[in-house]
Amino acid sequence: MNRPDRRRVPEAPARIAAEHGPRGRLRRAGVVVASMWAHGAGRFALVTLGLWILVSLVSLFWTPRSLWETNGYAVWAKPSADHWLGTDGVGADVFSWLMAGSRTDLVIVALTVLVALAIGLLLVAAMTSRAAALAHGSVVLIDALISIPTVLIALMLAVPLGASVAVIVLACGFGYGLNLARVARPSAMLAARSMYVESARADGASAMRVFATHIVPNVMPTLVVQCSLSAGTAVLAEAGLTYLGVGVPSGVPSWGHSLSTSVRFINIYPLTVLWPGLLVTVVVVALNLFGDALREAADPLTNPRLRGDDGHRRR
Amino acid sequence: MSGTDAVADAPTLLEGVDIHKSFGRGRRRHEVLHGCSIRVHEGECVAVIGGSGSGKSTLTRILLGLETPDSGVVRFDGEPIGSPEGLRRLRHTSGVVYQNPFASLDPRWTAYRSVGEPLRLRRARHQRMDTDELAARVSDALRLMALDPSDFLDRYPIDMSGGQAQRVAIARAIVTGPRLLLADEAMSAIDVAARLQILDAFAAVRARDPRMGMLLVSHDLGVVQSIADTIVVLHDGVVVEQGSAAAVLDDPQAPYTRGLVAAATL
Repeated sequence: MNRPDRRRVPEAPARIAAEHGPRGRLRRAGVVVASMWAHGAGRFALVTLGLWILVSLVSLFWTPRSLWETNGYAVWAKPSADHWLGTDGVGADVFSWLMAGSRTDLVIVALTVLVALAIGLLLVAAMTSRAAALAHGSVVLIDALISIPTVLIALMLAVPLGASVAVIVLACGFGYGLNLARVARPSAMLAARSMYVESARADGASAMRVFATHIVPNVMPTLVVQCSLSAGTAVLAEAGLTYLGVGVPSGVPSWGHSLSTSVRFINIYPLTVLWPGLLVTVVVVALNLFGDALREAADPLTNPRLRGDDGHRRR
Repeated sequence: MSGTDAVADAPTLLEGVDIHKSFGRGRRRHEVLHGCSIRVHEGECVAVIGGSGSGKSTLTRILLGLETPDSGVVRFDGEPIGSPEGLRRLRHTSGVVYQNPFASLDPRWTAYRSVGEPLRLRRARHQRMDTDELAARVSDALRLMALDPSDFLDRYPIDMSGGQAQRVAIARAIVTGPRLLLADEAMSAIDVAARLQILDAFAAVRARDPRMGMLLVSHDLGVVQSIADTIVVLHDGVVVEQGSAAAVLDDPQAPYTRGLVAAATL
């Protein structure tokens, strides 16, 4: 039996108009999430990151124990009904500190990715500019700046700013933005020199419009993966920079803070290092898998469901 | 008065006069165009023919305002396109069809977005074109190309054949009702069957807009013969012959043109 072609509806313009409205965007977002959910890796990433956001929100109102509640008689306690993941060296509840730390790391990751994306897109725009001096100059600038280690930038920023979240966000955002621009350059150049961009220019499209509507969507798959890698690396960098004393200040809960305060006792009380370490590892893996799954699901070239195809090419 | 004479008496739409263009500097300087002149009248289809490297594409890009000539002038509707007003007028009243349809359509855009882009770009800032009107005009352009809008509006290039993609590209070029259509080797990257569909599509466009001028760049004399009113033969950056299509193809004067015609009949 022939299946009816559900795409063939009489009022094509009206259907297209609806598809480009808010409902259409919502439907496409639903297709993207469903496509990610259809794969194990995507499901793991969505669940993990969803839990991370949920726990961060809950920690604003509730933690099992107060962060400042300490018990000198129950230091380095093993997991129990009172302290689900045990206690640290001052008898504070490890689970509560990790819960509260999750929101600090979430803010750091979100801001770092935003800064990296802003710097990266600015540099990609410069590299794909039709002004040869700007295009060549930006490539040289990136090659020069990318050689400066992120840790060094963080140490320099810590002089005026002190140990703070801003140091991590600015240092990592700057470094990852340079990296993002360098990785996105080949696909951006391909798009910038394409016939469809020339066609848009011939129709009178401004450089800004060409960049926003043609170049960015065509480098988006690269950007998505690079941003997810940056997000994962930001979690690791938070831990590293906090351990060095230039990251999250003392007294502010973060996973890096939990790691740095307990790492000296890893030989005696390994569990207190294991929990934040495990958390960081799982979240970094989830972020990387999220990037891959989103790239596959949100790109119409790789996701036939976004093209309304259900996997069938219709030439 | 013959059809060709009628076309010659029509107002000049696009004119390139004594165009020189070179690339590279110093010892690597290479002159591609050596004083080419070309004229397209309203309602006329001018075909530029020549082999690879003859300068056809460079000439097209200069006529489109995408390259600046070293010397010479291009006028559209009497206005030099070197001026902002002339360039704006050319871009807002012309359409371009490129050689490779898959390269000239954004792979991540549906046919609706690609064909609708010139409409969105050309409307004045204070004008609003709602999605219904945009979709209706895009549908009309697709129908003229014998493509069913209900099937093609939300198709991506990856789901089209070469002929379908090229007809979508032509729909994009003519959706605004341009006064001038430039087709740069529009039929060289598609198979013979699709070529006939494209020729039919061009014929439909010309029937709809009889005053539209057309500049066709091609190395396929069969295509040129079936559609062109006037032929300009380009060889090594020089116009070696030009005249009515019948005169150039039936009685070529320049040795290079005779070679081209002889090669086409092999």
